[in-house]
Amino acid sequence: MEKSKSIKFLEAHQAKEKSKFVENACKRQDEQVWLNWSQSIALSIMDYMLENNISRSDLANMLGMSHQYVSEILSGKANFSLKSIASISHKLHLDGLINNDALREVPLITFTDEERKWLQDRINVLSEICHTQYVCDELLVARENPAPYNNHNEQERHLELGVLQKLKLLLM
Amino acid sequence: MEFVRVKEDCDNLWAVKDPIKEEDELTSLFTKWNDLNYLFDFFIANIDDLKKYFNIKKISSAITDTVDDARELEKLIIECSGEEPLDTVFKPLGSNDDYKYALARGKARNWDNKRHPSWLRIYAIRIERNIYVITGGAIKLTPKMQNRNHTMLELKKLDDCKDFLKKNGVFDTDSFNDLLNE
Repeated sequence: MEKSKSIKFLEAHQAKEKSKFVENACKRQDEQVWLNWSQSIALSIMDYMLENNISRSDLANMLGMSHQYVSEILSGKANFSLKSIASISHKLHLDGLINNDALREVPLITFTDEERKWLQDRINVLSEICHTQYVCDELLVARENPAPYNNHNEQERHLELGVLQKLKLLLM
Repeated sequence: MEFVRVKEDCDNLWAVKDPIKEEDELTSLFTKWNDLNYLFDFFIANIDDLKKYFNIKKISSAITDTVDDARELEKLIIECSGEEPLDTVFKPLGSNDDYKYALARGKARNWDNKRHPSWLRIYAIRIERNIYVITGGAIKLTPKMQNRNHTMLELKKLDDCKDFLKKNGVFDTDSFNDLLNE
């Protein structure tokens, strides 16, 4: 079907860079669980700031952190360690930060038989690396650089992504 | 003015891309709506409108609503840029933007938001049936776009895009004539 004049015009004025809208949307969907946690913590801190009339600068001083890191915390995209959460909670006297509803609602992470088999096959391949952390790092790197796990099987890719997401959550 | 396809294999939905900016208008919109720093500052600056028009007093509630609403609107845009007709998602901006006129201005929002009427808006120019160019969007807390600077800016972006397209003679005459004869 011949393209309309309008489409031809838009194509003639198309930017070199492609839109990242769909890519960013998929990333947000994939990372929704931990993003919800991070956002929840950021919101608790924001409530605290407003209730106590504390600026970002005051917060940075209270936490002994840089303005840049405070900005990251408040963006709702900070990948907190449990230690960081405990430290913030303690310094702000915010017990509610770690007893957050969003954290309580997270289901127990379990692997299906198929996922276990996938993981075991790959651990066998990487059997010289003993430490689980390194195995998971290798698998995560492999996910970003498809070879040698590159395959065109949609089902296997979906399985791979599911397992790696669960591993990421376990390692957080 | 440059443009990008929102989805690679779809000719129906485009977004304006300013060459000096890193992101196109649609991508930039959702980046902001998922940045709690940005939302925090926005709602503090517009707390009076939030209280007056939506009876919401807590900033964190407004932020949560925005992030949740943005997630739904994002899914809607992704789904509708494929098979679903965009004319059901984008509606005329105002009474002067009837789709019988060429290059009408349109808006999309999450029309089914349960908690309260959605305040998120995506603005676009309707080039022809089911073909739209997104020019931007806003968190609209007031009844009229003219009420606030940030929504006035979006009106200007809509009109700038419309003027650019008009100046370059862009609308499909055959489709437009068919529309007139419907």
